Amino acid sequence: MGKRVTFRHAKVTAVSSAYGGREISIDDEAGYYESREQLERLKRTIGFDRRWVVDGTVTSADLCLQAARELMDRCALEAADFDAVVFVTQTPDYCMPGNAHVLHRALSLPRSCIAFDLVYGCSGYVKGLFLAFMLAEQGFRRILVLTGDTLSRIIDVRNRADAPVFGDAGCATVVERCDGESPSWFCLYSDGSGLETMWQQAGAYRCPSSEETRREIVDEKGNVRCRDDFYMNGFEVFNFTLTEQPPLLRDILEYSGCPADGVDFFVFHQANRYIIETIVKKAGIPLAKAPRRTFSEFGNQSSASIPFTICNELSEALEGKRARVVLQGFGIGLSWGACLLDFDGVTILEPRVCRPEGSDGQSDL
Amino acid sequence: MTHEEFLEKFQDVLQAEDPLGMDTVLEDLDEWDSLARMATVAFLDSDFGVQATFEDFTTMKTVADVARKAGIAS
Repeated sequence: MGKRVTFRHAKVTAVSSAYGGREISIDDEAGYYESREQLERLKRTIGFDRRWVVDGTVTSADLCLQAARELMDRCALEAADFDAVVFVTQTPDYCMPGNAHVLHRALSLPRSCIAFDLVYGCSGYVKGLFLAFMLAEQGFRRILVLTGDTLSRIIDVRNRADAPVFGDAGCATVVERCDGESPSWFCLYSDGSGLETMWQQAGAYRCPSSEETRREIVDEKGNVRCRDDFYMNGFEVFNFTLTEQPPLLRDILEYSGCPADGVDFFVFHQANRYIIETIVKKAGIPLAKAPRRTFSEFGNQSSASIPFTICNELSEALEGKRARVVLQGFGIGLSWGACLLDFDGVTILEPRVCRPEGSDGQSDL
Repeated sequence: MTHEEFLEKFQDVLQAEDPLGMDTVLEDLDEWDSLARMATVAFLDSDFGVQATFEDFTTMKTVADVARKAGIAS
């Protein structure tokens, strides 16, 4: 059993997304595969097709800054309207301080707007919302939640176990305190025993980057990586997903007292299409309620994947309407969590490609 | 589940072109890649309630080994 928490005075009011500006089609990478048949099988089953990654030096902060500015424009919000900013990323601009302060400066947020950083990947949206809902419950009026990663920058394109999986994106979400009753439910889990299932081992202080950690390792299938790169044990990750995610879904439904048919959409982290379909099948919920195009169109976007999917696939169904949604994230840590929320008139913007500002197309951060 | 039903289902799970036999060696199948291993994990879980580990995949050599893991008597 994980940790169960209910909030009564917080809600999501707006979501926006930005994605990396370079499109890669798996068909253009056919040379990495043994045969056309093998590639077709991967496309059909896993859902590989296209992914969008950042170019050059574009960062998670660039992606989230664009998403935040668009959202503030659309909702007519000013810097002074925010009491907190939460930034969830594993690929920050600097070793220190974290990206929340980078965005605090870029958006000219006031000193009374408190900046928090969280280091999470694929479970990060749910954990970032949890922190924001907690703050709202305590009286913070409006919280800006930013989630995004640029994993393509720490994966060798010759590492076919990981490179075709990930896309880069950043999202902005506004959470507001509401004085009336607006209940929401969260179930959260953490398990550090899975630390090495996914990690970027070298480059920090336990294992500083060196000639040794930058040395290329070629596995038995010819995948190339080094210890400075992101690593994922795909088999263990799949096993973890299959073992833990269907029970988490049951857990959140049981805790909230809401039956599955009372939920309009189940938005899962877009790990890949096969994983979502496997969870849905095992949980016995209708496939139509689980959006899953985003992986094939943009790639697995780590902590951005859930809000991005809301923008990419559900804007018409949710914009300005009432709906009950379950959001479920799972990944590095290991960390996983789900929440059941009521969306009521949420402003949802279409995803936009990231074009960093500045005279030469470089970031002005 | 009979042996015949198992073979038919497992062939479908692996998206294998040719029918399987109990003595089929997994490594001899063109389709036996990491995706097939994931599909096998999901198959054992959903149809038999059996959790397979990474180690199981180093000891399972033939289709009969997978059937035994699923709890189907040989």
